[in-house]
Amino acid sequence: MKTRLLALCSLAVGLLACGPVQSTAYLLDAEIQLQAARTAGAESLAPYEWTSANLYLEKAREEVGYSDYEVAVRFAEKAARSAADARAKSLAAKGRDVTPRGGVR
Amino acid sequence: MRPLLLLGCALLATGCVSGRQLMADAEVISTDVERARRNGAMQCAPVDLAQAEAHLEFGQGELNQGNSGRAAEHIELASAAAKRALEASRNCASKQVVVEDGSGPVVVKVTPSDRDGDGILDDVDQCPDEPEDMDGFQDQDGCPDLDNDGDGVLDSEDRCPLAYGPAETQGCPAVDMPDADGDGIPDHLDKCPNAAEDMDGFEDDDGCPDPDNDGDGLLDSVDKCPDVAGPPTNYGCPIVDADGDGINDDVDQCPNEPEDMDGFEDEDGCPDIDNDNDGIPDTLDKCPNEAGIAELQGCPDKDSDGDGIPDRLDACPDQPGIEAEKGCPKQYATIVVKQDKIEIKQQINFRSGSASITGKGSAAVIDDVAQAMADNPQIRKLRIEGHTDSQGSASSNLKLSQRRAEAVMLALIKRKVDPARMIAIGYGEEQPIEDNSTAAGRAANRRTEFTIVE
Repeated sequence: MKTRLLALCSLAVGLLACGPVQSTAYLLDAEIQLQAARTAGAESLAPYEWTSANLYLEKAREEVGYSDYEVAVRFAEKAARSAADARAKSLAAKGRDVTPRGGVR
Repeated sequence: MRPLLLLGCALLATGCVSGRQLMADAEVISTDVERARRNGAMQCAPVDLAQAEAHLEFGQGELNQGNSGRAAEHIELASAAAKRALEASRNCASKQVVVEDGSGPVVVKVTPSDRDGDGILDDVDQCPDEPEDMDGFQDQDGCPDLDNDGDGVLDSEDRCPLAYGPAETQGCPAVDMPDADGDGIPDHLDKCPNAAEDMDGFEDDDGCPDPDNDGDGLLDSVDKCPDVAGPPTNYGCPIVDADGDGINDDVDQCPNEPEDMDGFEDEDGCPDIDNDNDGIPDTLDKCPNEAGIAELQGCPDKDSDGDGIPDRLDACPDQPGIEAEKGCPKQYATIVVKQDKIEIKQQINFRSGSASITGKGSAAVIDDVAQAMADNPQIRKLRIEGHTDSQGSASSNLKLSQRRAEAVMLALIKRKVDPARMIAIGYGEEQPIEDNSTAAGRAANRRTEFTIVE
Protein backbone atom coordinates (compact mmCIF):
# COMPACT_ATOMS: atom_id res chain seq x y z
CA MET A 1 0.00 0.00 0.00
CA LYS A 2 2.80 2.38 0.97
CA THR A 3 4.67 1.67 -2.25
CA ARG A 4 1.55 2.39 -4.35
CA LEU A 5 0.97 5.66 -2.56
CA LEU A 6 4.58 6.66 -3.13
CA ALA A 7 4.34 5.85 -6.84
CA LEU A 8 1.10 7.84 -7.14
CA CYS A 9 2.66 10.84 -5.38
CA SER A 10 5.74 10.67 -7.64
CA LEU A 11 3.51 10.60 -10.73
CA ALA A 12 1.51 13.59 -9.49
CA VAL A 13 4.64 15.59 -8.71
CA GLY A 14 6.05 14.64 -12.11
CA LEU A 15 2.93 15.80 -13.93
CA LEU A 16 2.74 19.07 -11.99
CA ALA A 17 6.38 19.84 -12.72
CA CYS A 18 5.92 19.15 -16.43
CA GLY A 19 4.46 22.62 -17.20
CA PRO A 20 7.31 24.70 -15.71
CA VAL A 21 10.00 22.48 -17.24
CA GLN A 22 8.45 22.54 -20.68
CA SER A 23 7.81 26.30 -20.66
CA THR A 24 11.37 26.95 -19.49
CA ALA A 25 12.69 24.98 -22.46
CA TYR A 26 10.57 27.03 -24.86
CA LEU A 27 11.66 30.28 -23.20
CA LEU A 28 15.28 29.23 -23.51
CA ASP A 29 14.77 28.44 -27.18
CA ALA A 30 13.21 31.85 -27.81
CA GLU A 31 16.07 33.59 -25.98
CA ILE A 32 18.62 31.81 -28.16
CA GLN A 33 16.76 32.76 -31.31
CA LEU A 34 16.62 36.38 -30.11
CA GLN A 35 20.33 36.39 -29.39
CA ALA A 36 20.97 35.09 -32.90
CA ALA A 37 18.71 37.78 -34.35
CA ARG A 38 20.55 40.47 -32.39
CA THR A 39 23.87 39.21 -33.72
CA ALA A 40 22.48 39.50 -37.25
CA GLY A 41 21.60 43.14 -36.62
CA ALA A 42 17.84 42.62 -36.41
CA GLU A 43 17.40 45.65 -34.14
CA SER A 44 17.96 47.94 -37.08
CA LEU A 45 17.43 45.65 -40.09
CA ALA A 46 14.18 43.98 -39.03
CA PRO A 47 12.66 46.28 -36.42
CA TYR A 48 9.11 44.94 -36.78
CA GLU A 49 10.01 41.30 -36.22
CA TRP A 50 12.59 42.20 -33.55
CA THR A 51 10.06 44.22 -31.53
CA SER A 52 7.41 41.49 -31.85
CA ALA A 53 9.86 38.82 -30.70
CA ASN A 54 10.86 40.83 -27.62
CA LEU A 55 7.27 41.60 -26.67
CA TYR A 56 6.18 37.97 -27.04
CA LEU A 57 9.11 36.76 -24.95
CA GLU A 58 8.36 39.32 -22.25
CA LYS A 59 4.71 38.25 -22.19
CA ALA A 60 5.70 34.58 -22.07
CA ARG A 61 7.84 35.27 -18.99
CA GLU A 62 4.94 37.19 -17.43
CA GLU A 63 2.60 34.23 -18.02
CA VAL A 64 5.08 31.88 -16.36
CA GLY A 65 4.86 34.22 -13.37
CA TYR A 66 1.10 33.65 -13.32
CA SER A 67 1.72 29.86 -13.65
CA ASP A 68 -0.17 29.92 -16.92
CA TYR A 69 2.28 27.60 -18.66
CA GLU A 70 0.18 26.77 -21.70
CA VAL A 71 -0.14 30.43 -22.70
CA ALA A 72 3.52 30.99 -21.84
CA VAL A 73 4.56 28.21 -24.24
CA ARG A 74 2.38 29.69 -26.97
CA PHE A 75 3.95 33.13 -26.63
CA ALA A 76 7.45 31.70 -26.32
CA GLU A 77 6.91 29.84 -29.60
CA LYS A 78 5.73 33.04 -31.25
CA ALA A 79 8.74 34.88 -29.88
CA ALA A 80 11.05 32.23 -31.31
CA ARG A 81 9.32 32.39 -34.69
CA SER A 82 9.47 36.20 -34.84
CA ALA A 83 13.11 36.15 -33.81
CA ALA A 84 13.92 33.61 -36.52
CA ASP A 85 12.09 35.79 -39.06
CA ALA A 86 14.00 38.84 -37.82
CA ARG A 87 17.30 37.03 -38.22
CA ALA A 88 16.44 35.74 -41.69
CA LYS A 89 15.32 39.21 -42.81
CA SER A 90 18.46 40.82 -41.42
CA LEU A 91 20.75 38.33 -43.08
CA ALA A 92 18.86 38.68 -46.34
CA ALA A 93 19.29 42.46 -46.10
CA LYS A 94 22.99 41.99 -45.60
CA GLY A 95 23.07 39.57 -48.50
CA ARG A 96 24.52 36.76 -46.43
CA ASP A 97 23.71 33.07 -46.17
CA VAL A 98 20.66 32.26 -44.03
CA THR A 99 21.24 29.18 -41.90
CA PRO A 100 18.84 28.78 -39.00
CA ARG A 101 20.47 28.08 -35.69
CA GLY A 102 19.34 25.08 -33.70
CA GLY A 103 17.34 25.67 -30.56
CA VAL A 104 16.88 23.81 -27.33
CA ARG A 105 13.77 21.75 -27.11
CA MET B 1 -26.19 39.87 4.26
CA ARG B 2 -28.25 42.05 1.87
CA PRO B 3 -25.66 44.87 1.55
CA LEU B 4 -23.02 42.28 0.75
CA LEU B 5 -25.20 40.80 -1.99
CA LEU B 6 -25.83 44.25 -3.45
CA LEU B 7 -22.12 45.05 -3.36
CA GLY B 8 -21.36 41.77 -5.13
CA CYS B 9 -23.92 42.52 -7.85
CA ALA B 10 -22.54 46.05 -8.31
CA LEU B 11 -19.00 44.74 -8.65
CA LEU B 12 -20.14 42.11 -11.16
CA ALA B 13 -21.97 44.76 -13.20
CA THR B 14 -18.93 47.07 -13.19
CA GLY B 15 -16.76 44.17 -14.40
CA CYS B 16 -19.13 43.39 -17.27
CA VAL B 17 -19.35 47.01 -18.36
CA SER B 18 -15.60 47.51 -18.24
CA GLY B 19 -15.03 44.24 -20.11
CA ARG B 20 -17.47 45.28 -22.82
CA GLN B 21 -15.87 48.70 -23.07
CA LEU B 22 -12.44 47.09 -23.43
CA MET B 23 -13.74 44.81 -26.17
CA ALA B 24 -15.11 47.86 -27.99
CA ASP B 25 -11.78 49.65 -27.55
CA ALA B 26 -9.98 46.60 -28.92
CA GLU B 27 -12.21 46.68 -32.00
CA VAL B 28 -11.34 50.33 -32.62
CA ILE B 29 -7.62 49.66 -32.17
CA SER B 30 -7.84 46.70 -34.50
CA THR B 31 -9.27 49.01 -37.20
CA ASP B 32 -6.52 51.58 -36.56
CA VAL B 33 -3.85 48.88 -36.81
CA GLU B 34 -5.32 47.67 -40.08
CA ARG B 35 -5.37 51.24 -41.46
CA ALA B 36 -1.79 51.86 -40.35
CA ARG B 37 -0.71 48.62 -42.01
CA ARG B 38 -2.48 49.62 -45.23
CA ASN B 39 -0.80 53.03 -45.08
CA GLY B 40 2.58 51.31 -45.02
CA ALA B 41 3.36 51.39 -41.29
CA MET B 42 5.39 48.21 -41.80
CA GLN B 43 7.92 50.47 -43.49
CA CYS B 44 7.36 53.78 -41.75
CA ALA B 45 6.60 52.74 -38.18
CA PRO B 46 7.52 49.06 -37.78
CA VAL B 47 8.22 49.29 -34.05
CA ASP B 48 4.95 51.03 -33.26
CA LEU B 49 3.03 48.66 -35.51
CA ALA B 50 4.58 45.62 -33.81
CA GLN B 51 3.81 47.05 -30.37
CA ALA B 52 0.22 47.82 -31.33
CA GLU B 53 -0.38 44.34 -32.74
CA ALA B 54 1.28 42.46 -29.89
CA HIS B 55 -0.39 44.42 -27.10
CA LEU B 56 -3.74 44.15 -28.84
CA GLU B 57 -3.31 40.37 -28.99
CA PHE B 58 -2.26 40.27 -25.31
CA GLY B 59 -5.20 42.47 -24.32
CA GLN B 60 -7.71 40.32 -26.18
CA GLY B 61 -6.17 37.16 -24.67
CA GLU B 62 -6.45 38.56 -21.15
CA LEU B 63 -10.05 39.62 -21.84
CA ASN B 64 -10.90 36.10 -22.94
CA GLN B 65 -9.45 34.82 -19.68
CA GLY B 66 -11.49 37.39 -17.73
CA ASN B 67 -8.51 39.43 -16.53
CA SER B 68 -9.90 42.93 -17.12
CA GLY B 69 -7.13 44.66 -15.18
CA ARG B 70 -4.28 43.18 -17.20
CA ALA B 71 -6.30 43.53 -20.40
CA ALA B 72 -6.79 47.25 -19.75
CA GLU B 73 -3.02 47.80 -19.45
CA HIS B 74 -2.37 46.08 -22.78
CA ILE B 75 -5.27 47.79 -24.54
CA GLU B 76 -3.94 51.18 -23.36
CA LEU B 77 -0.45 50.41 -24.68
CA ALA B 78 -1.89 49.07 -27.95
CA SER B 79 -4.00 52.21 -28.38
CA ALA B 80 -1.04 54.55 -27.92
CA ALA B 81 1.16 52.50 -30.27
CA ALA B 82 -1.58 52.28 -32.93
CA LYS B 83 -2.01 56.06 -32.83
CA ARG B 84 1.75 56.56 -33.25
CA ALA B 85 1.82 54.08 -36.13
CA LEU B 86 -1.10 55.82 -37.83
CA GLU B 87 0.49 59.23 -37.39
CA ALA B 88 3.87 58.07 -38.66
CA SER B 89 2.38 56.26 -41.64
CA ARG B 90 0.28 59.20 -42.81
CA ASN B 91 2.79 60.11 -45.47
CA CYS B 92 4.03 56.73 -46.49
CA ALA B 93 1.01 55.45 -48.38
CA SER B 94 1.55 54.93 -52.10
CA LYS B 95 1.38 58.13 -54.13
CA GLN B 96 0.00 58.55 -57.64
CA VAL B 97 2.07 59.88 -60.49
CA VAL B 98 1.44 60.20 -64.20
CA VAL B 99 3.83 58.43 -66.52
CA GLU B 100 3.92 58.17 -70.25
CA ASP B 101 3.84 54.79 -71.89
CA GLY B 102 3.34 53.94 -75.54
CA SER B 103 -0.44 54.40 -75.42
CA GLY B 104 -0.38 57.76 -73.60
CA PRO B 105 -0.29 59.05 -70.02
CA VAL B 106 -1.38 56.61 -67.29
CA VAL B 107 -1.59 56.93 -63.50
CA VAL B 108 0.67 54.61 -61.50
CA LYS B 109 1.18 54.20 -57.77
CA VAL B 110 4.60 54.79 -56.25
CA THR B 111 5.56 53.29 -52.89
CA PRO B 112 8.21 55.14 -50.83
CA SER B 113 11.51 53.32 -50.46
CA ASP B 114 13.65 52.45 -47.45
CA ARG B 115 16.94 51.17 -48.85
CA ASP B 116 18.62 50.36 -45.56
CA GLY B 117 15.42 48.81 -44.11
CA ASP B 118 15.63 50.66 -40.80
CA GLY B 119 11.99 51.76 -40.90
CA ILE B 120 12.90 55.37 -41.72
CA LEU B 121 11.91 56.24 -45.28
CA ASP B 122 14.67 57.42 -47.59
CA ASP B 123 13.15 60.87 -48.08
CA VAL B 124 13.62 61.68 -44.39
CA ASP B 125 16.52 59.34 -43.67
CA GLN B 126 19.70 61.38 -43.36
CA CYS B 127 21.70 58.19 -43.98
CA PRO B 128 19.53 56.19 -46.41
CA ASP B 129 22.19 53.51 -46.94
CA GLU B 130 23.19 53.01 -43.31
CA PRO B 131 20.61 51.54 -40.96
CA GLU B 132 19.88 53.50 -37.77
CA ASP B 133 21.19 51.56 -34.75
CA MET B 134 17.95 52.04 -32.78
CA ASP B 135 19.71 52.24 -29.46
CA GLY B 136 17.36 54.82 -28.00
CA PHE B 137 19.69 57.72 -28.83
CA GLN B 138 18.70 60.06 -31.67
CA ASP B 139 16.97 57.25 -33.52
CA GLN B 140 14.79 59.51 -35.69
CA ASP B 141 17.50 60.81 -38.04
CA GLY B 142 18.17 57.44 -39.64
CA CYS B 143 21.94 57.61 -38.96
CA PRO B 144 23.69 55.16 -36.65
CA ASP B 145 25.35 56.83 -33.66
CA LEU B 146 28.42 54.79 -32.92
CA ASP B 147 29.54 56.98 -30.02
CA ASN B 148 26.45 58.45 -28.37
CA ASP B 149 28.20 60.48 -25.69
CA GLY B 150 30.98 61.64 -27.99
CA ASP B 151 33.70 60.63 -25.56
CA GLY B 152 35.77 58.87 -28.21
CA VAL B 153 34.92 55.41 -26.89
CA LEU B 154 32.69 53.50 -29.29
CA ASP B 155 29.33 52.49 -27.83
CA SER B 156 30.13 48.82 -28.41
CA GLU B 157 33.07 49.19 -25.99
CA ASP B 158 31.59 51.94 -23.84
CA ARG B 159 30.24 50.76 -20.52
CA CYS B 160 28.49 54.12 -20.15
CA PRO B 161 27.42 54.95 -23.74
CA LEU B 162 25.33 57.92 -22.63
CA ALA B 163 27.83 59.40 -20.15
CA TYR B 164 31.03 61.12 -21.14
CA GLY B 165 34.07 59.25 -19.87
CA PRO B 166 37.64 58.48 -20.93
CA ALA B 167 38.84 55.20 -22.42
CA GLU B 168 40.74 54.41 -19.20
CA THR B 169 37.44 53.95 -17.39
CA GLN B 170 35.83 52.15 -20.36
CA GLY B 171 33.87 55.24 -21.29
CA CYS B 172 32.38 55.88 -17.86
CA PRO B 173 32.88 59.15 -15.99
CA ALA B 174 36.17 59.08 -14.03
CA VAL B 175 35.28 58.94 -10.40
CA ASP B 176 38.54 60.38 -9.19
CA MET B 177 38.25 63.51 -11.38
CA PRO B 178 36.34 66.32 -9.71
CA ASP B 179 32.92 66.97 -11.26
CA ALA B 180 31.13 69.49 -9.08
CA ASP B 181 27.86 69.49 -11.04
CA GLY B 182 27.86 65.73 -11.56
CA ASP B 183 27.11 65.95 -15.28
CA GLY B 184 29.82 63.43 -16.20
CA ILE B 185 32.15 66.08 -17.62
CA PRO B 186 35.16 66.59 -15.32
CA ASP B 187 35.51 70.13 -14.03
CA HIS B 188 38.74 70.77 -15.92
CA LEU B 189 36.87 70.18 -19.21
CA ASP B 190 33.60 71.72 -18.05
CA LYS B 191 32.98 75.35 -19.03
CA CYS B 192 30.18 75.52 -16.49
CA PRO B 193 31.48 73.35 -13.65
CA ASN B 194 28.65 74.34 -11.35
CA ALA B 195 25.77 73.95 -13.83
CA ALA B 196 25.04 70.44 -15.10
CA GLU B 197 25.05 69.94 -18.86
CA ASP B 198 21.52 68.99 -20.01
CA MET B 199 22.76 66.30 -22.40
CA ASP B 200 20.06 66.90 -24.98
CA GLY B 201 22.22 66.29 -28.01
CA PHE B 202 22.96 69.97 -28.53
CA GLU B 203 26.47 71.21 -27.67
CA ASP B 204 26.79 68.66 -24.91
CA ASP B 205 30.58 68.65 -24.83
CA ASP B 206 31.03 72.09 -23.25
CA GLY B 207 29.40 71.16 -19.96
CA CYS B 208 27.00 74.10 -20.03
CA PRO B 209 23.25 73.51 -20.11
CA ASP B 210 21.39 74.93 -23.07
CA PRO B 211 17.81 75.46 -21.91
CA ASP B 212 16.82 77.04 -25.23
CA ASN B 213 18.94 75.47 -27.97
CA ASP B 214 17.52 77.45 -30.86
CA GLY B 215 17.25 80.70 -28.90
CA ASP B 216 13.68 81.31 -30.01
CA GLY B 217 12.61 82.26 -26.51
CA LEU B 218 10.73 79.04 -25.90
CA LEU B 219 12.37 76.65 -23.43
CA ASP B 220 13.34 73.28 -24.91
CA SER B 221 11.05 71.47 -22.49
CA VAL B 222 8.01 72.99 -24.24
CA ASP B 223 9.57 73.57 -27.66
CA LYS B 224 8.41 71.04 -30.24
CA CYS B 225 11.38 71.96 -32.43
CA PRO B 226 14.09 72.70 -29.85
CA ASP B 227 16.88 72.96 -32.43
CA VAL B 228 15.06 75.12 -35.00
CA ALA B 229 13.75 78.56 -34.12
CA GLY B 230 10.03 79.12 -34.47
CA PRO B 231 7.28 81.32 -33.03
CA PRO B 232 5.50 80.26 -29.82
CA THR B 233 2.21 80.21 -31.76
CA ASN B 234 3.59 77.25 -33.71
CA TYR B 235 4.98 75.53 -30.57
CA GLY B 236 8.47 76.75 -31.33
CA CYS B 237 8.58 75.22 -34.81
CA PRO B 238 9.16 77.31 -37.91
CA ILE B 239 6.11 77.89 -40.04
CA VAL B 240 7.13 76.24 -43.25
CA ASP B 241 5.29 75.56 -46.47
CA ALA B 242 7.95 73.73 -48.45
CA ASP B 243 5.81 73.11 -51.52
CA GLY B 244 4.24 76.59 -51.47
CA ASP B 245 0.70 75.34 -51.85
CA GLY B 246 -0.65 77.55 -49.08
CA ILE B 247 -0.97 74.66 -46.63
CA ASN B 248 1.66 74.76 -43.89
CA ASP B 249 3.79 71.67 -43.49
CA ASP B 250 2.49 70.90 -40.01
CA VAL B 251 -0.93 70.07 -41.48
CA ASP B 252 0.20 69.22 -45.02
CA GLN B 253 0.12 65.47 -45.54
CA CYS B 254 2.36 65.86 -48.59
CA PRO B 255 4.67 68.73 -47.59
CA ASN B 256 6.85 68.32 -50.67
CA GLU B 257 4.12 68.05 -53.28
CA PRO B 258 1.87 71.07 -53.92
CA GLU B 259 -1.87 70.48 -53.62
CA ASP B 260 -3.54 70.80 -57.02
CA MET B 261 -6.46 72.88 -55.68
CA ASP B 262 -9.01 71.44 -58.06
CA GLY B 263 -11.85 71.49 -55.55
CA PHE B 264 -11.37 67.83 -54.69
CA GLU B 265 -9.93 67.03 -51.23
CA ASP B 266 -7.85 70.21 -51.28
CA GLU B 267 -7.45 70.37 -47.50
CA ASP B 268 -4.97 67.52 -47.11
CA GLY B 269 -2.17 69.17 -49.08
CA CYS B 270 -1.71 66.22 -51.41
CA PRO B 271 -2.30 66.60 -55.14
CA ASP B 272 -5.03 64.35 -56.51
CA ILE B 273 -4.04 63.85 -60.07
CA ASP B 274 -6.79 61.33 -60.66
CA ASN B 275 -9.74 62.33 -58.47
CA ASP B 276 -12.03 59.53 -59.55
CA ASN B 277 -9.31 56.86 -59.60
CA ASP B 278 -10.28 55.68 -63.07
CA GLY B 279 -6.68 55.63 -64.26
CA ILE B 280 -7.11 58.66 -66.52
CA PRO B 281 -5.30 61.77 -65.22
CA ASP B 282 -7.59 64.70 -64.41
CA THR B 283 -5.89 66.83 -67.05
CA LEU B 284 -7.19 64.47 -69.74
CA ASP B 285 -10.37 63.43 -67.96
CA LYS B 286 -13.53 65.14 -69.20
CA CYS B 287 -15.34 63.91 -66.09
CA PRO B 288 -12.59 64.11 -63.44
CA ASN B 289 -14.92 63.37 -60.53
CA GLU B 290 -16.79 60.46 -62.07
CA ALA B 291 -15.02 57.19 -62.84
CA GLY B 292 -15.15 56.51 -66.53
CA ILE B 293 -13.48 54.80 -69.46
CA ALA B 294 -10.75 55.85 -71.86
CA GLU B 295 -13.04 55.61 -74.91
CA LEU B 296 -15.21 58.37 -73.42
CA GLN B 297 -12.24 60.51 -72.24
CA GLY B 298 -12.80 59.45 -68.64
CA CYS B 299 -16.56 59.89 -68.55
CA PRO B 300 -18.81 57.12 -67.24
CA ASP B 301 -20.29 54.58 -69.60
CA LYS B 302 -23.94 55.64 -69.16
CA ASP B 303 -27.01 53.58 -69.92
CA SER B 304 -29.86 56.12 -69.86
CA ASP B 305 -32.67 53.72 -70.70
CA GLY B 306 -31.35 50.97 -68.42
CA ASP B 307 -31.60 48.27 -71.07
CA GLY B 308 -28.09 46.99 -70.37
CA ILE B 309 -26.69 48.48 -73.59
CA PRO B 310 -24.46 51.52 -72.90
CA ASP B 311 -25.52 54.76 -74.60
CA ARG B 312 -22.41 54.83 -76.80
CA LEU B 313 -23.51 51.53 -78.40
CA ASP B 314 -27.25 52.19 -78.18
CA ALA B 315 -28.94 53.42 -81.36
CA CYS B 316 -31.97 54.34 -79.23
CA PRO B 317 -30.41 55.51 -75.93
CA ASP B 318 -33.71 56.80 -74.53
CA GLN B 319 -35.79 53.74 -75.34
CA PRO B 320 -35.17 50.35 -73.76
CA GLY B 321 -34.27 47.91 -76.46
CA ILE B 322 -32.54 44.68 -77.25
CA GLU B 323 -29.06 43.86 -78.44
CA ALA B 324 -30.24 42.40 -81.76
CA GLU B 325 -31.82 45.78 -82.64
CA LYS B 326 -28.70 47.73 -81.46
CA GLY B 327 -30.48 48.92 -78.34
CA CYS B 328 -33.71 49.86 -80.08
CA PRO B 329 -37.05 48.30 -79.17
CA LYS B 330 -37.95 45.09 -80.91
CA GLN B 331 -40.43 45.58 -83.75
CA TYR B 332 -43.78 43.87 -83.22
CA ALA B 333 -46.66 43.58 -85.71
CA THR B 334 -49.37 45.02 -83.50
CA ILE B 335 -47.62 46.97 -80.73
CA VAL B 336 -44.79 49.46 -80.07
CA VAL B 337 -42.83 49.39 -76.80
CA LYS B 338 -42.21 52.92 -75.57
CA GLN B 339 -40.53 54.33 -72.45
CA ASP B 340 -43.78 54.65 -70.48
CA LYS B 341 -46.28 52.43 -72.26
CA ILE B 342 -46.90 49.61 -74.68
CA GLU B 343 -48.83 51.20 -77.48
CA ILE B 344 -51.24 48.95 -79.36
CA LYS B 345 -51.93 49.55 -83.04
CA GLN B 346 -55.38 47.95 -82.95
CA GLN B 347 -57.89 47.57 -80.16
CA ILE B 348 -58.71 44.40 -78.26
CA ASN B 349 -62.34 43.55 -78.92
CA PHE B 350 -64.89 42.14 -76.45
CA ARG B 351 -68.39 40.76 -76.89
CA SER B 352 -70.96 43.50 -76.33
CA GLY B 353 -71.60 44.00 -72.60
CA SER B 354 -69.24 41.13 -71.77
CA ALA B 355 -65.58 40.59 -70.79
CA SER B 356 -65.12 37.83 -73.36
CA ILE B 357 -62.27 38.64 -75.80
CA THR B 358 -63.13 38.09 -79.45
CA GLY B 359 -61.36 38.12 -82.77
CA LYS B 360 -57.99 36.96 -84.10
CA GLY B 361 -56.74 40.55 -84.10
CA SER B 362 -57.26 40.73 -80.32
CA ALA B 363 -55.33 37.49 -79.82
CA ALA B 364 -52.48 38.83 -81.98
CA VAL B 365 -52.22 41.98 -79.83
CA ILE B 366 -52.18 39.94 -76.61
CA ASP B 367 -49.56 37.59 -78.12
CA ASP B 368 -47.32 40.57 -78.93
CA VAL B 369 -47.78 42.14 -75.46
CA ALA B 370 -46.81 38.80 -73.88
CA GLN B 371 -43.76 38.58 -76.13
CA ALA B 372 -42.79 42.20 -75.29
CA MET B 373 -42.97 41.39 -71.58
CA ALA B 374 -40.66 38.41 -72.15
CA ASP B 375 -38.25 40.53 -74.25
CA ASN B 376 -38.13 43.40 -71.73
CA PRO B 377 -37.46 42.05 -68.24
CA GLN B 378 -36.72 45.62 -67.09
CA ILE B 379 -40.51 46.22 -67.19
CA ARG B 380 -41.36 45.33 -63.63
CA LYS B 381 -44.96 46.51 -63.46
CA LEU B 382 -47.47 46.86 -66.30
CA ARG B 383 -50.87 48.41 -65.65
CA ILE B 384 -53.65 46.99 -67.84
CA GLU B 385 -56.33 49.65 -68.05
CA GLY B 386 -59.90 49.10 -69.14
CA HIS B 387 -61.98 52.08 -70.42
CA THR B 388 -65.57 52.34 -71.70
CA ASP B 389 -67.73 54.95 -73.40
CA SER B 390 -70.49 56.78 -71.51
CA GLN B 391 -73.40 54.66 -72.64
CA GLY B 392 -75.14 52.85 -69.76
CA SER B 393 -74.73 53.58 -66.05
CA ALA B 394 -71.38 54.71 -64.69
CA SER B 395 -71.25 51.92 -62.10
CA SER B 396 -71.99 49.15 -64.60
CA ASN B 397 -69.37 50.65 -66.95
CA LEU B 398 -66.83 50.68 -64.12
CA LYS B 399 -67.50 47.00 -63.31
CA LEU B 400 -67.38 46.02 -67.00
CA SER B 401 -64.07 47.81 -67.58
CA GLN B 402 -62.59 46.10 -64.50
CA ARG B 403 -63.71 42.67 -65.73
CA ARG B 404 -62.29 43.38 -69.20
CA ALA B 405 -58.94 44.51 -67.82
CA GLU B 406 -58.82 41.35 -65.70
CA ALA B 407 -59.73 39.24 -68.75
CA VAL B 408 -56.74 40.68 -70.65
CA MET B 409 -54.49 40.06 -67.64
CA LEU B 410 -55.71 36.45 -67.46
CA ALA B 411 -54.98 36.04 -71.17
CA LEU B 412 -51.43 37.29 -70.58
CA ILE B 413 -50.97 34.97 -67.58
CA LYS B 414 -51.97 32.09 -69.87
CA ARG B 415 -49.15 33.24 -72.15
CA LYS B 416 -46.67 32.81 -69.25
CA VAL B 417 -46.38 36.43 -68.11
CA ASP B 418 -45.64 36.62 -64.38
CA PRO B 419 -48.81 37.88 -62.59
CA ALA B 420 -46.59 39.81 -60.16
CA ARG B 421 -45.54 42.07 -63.06
CA MET B 422 -49.12 43.14 -63.86
CA ILE B 423 -52.05 44.95 -62.34
CA ALA B 424 -55.54 45.27 -63.88
CA ILE B 425 -57.60 48.41 -63.28
CA GLY B 426 -60.97 49.37 -64.76
CA TYR B 427 -61.64 53.10 -65.07
CA GLY B 428 -65.13 52.91 -66.55
CA GLU B 429 -66.11 56.07 -68.41
CA GLU B 430 -63.97 58.37 -66.22
CA GLN B 431 -61.12 58.97 -68.69
CA PRO B 432 -62.51 59.57 -72.20
CA ILE B 433 -60.08 60.53 -74.95
CA GLU B 434 -62.72 61.54 -77.50
CA ASP B 435 -66.19 63.07 -77.52
CA ASN B 436 -68.79 60.56 -76.30
CA SER B 437 -71.60 62.26 -78.29
CA THR B 438 -70.41 60.79 -81.62
CA ALA B 439 -70.20 57.16 -82.64
CA ALA B 440 -66.53 57.54 -83.65
CA GLY B 441 -65.68 59.19 -80.35
CA ARG B 442 -67.41 56.45 -78.35
CA ALA B 443 -65.56 53.77 -80.34
CA ALA B 444 -62.25 55.46 -79.51
CA ASN B 445 -63.16 55.66 -75.82
CA ARG B 446 -63.83 51.92 -75.63
CA ARG B 447 -60.26 50.83 -75.28
CA THR B 448 -57.57 48.87 -73.45
CA GLU B 449 -54.27 50.55 -72.58
CA PHE B 450 -51.01 49.19 -71.26
CA THR B 451 -49.01 51.63 -69.05
CA ILE B 452 -45.49 50.84 -67.82
CA VAL B 453 -45.55 51.76 -64.11
CA GLU B 454 -42.07 50.55 -63.12
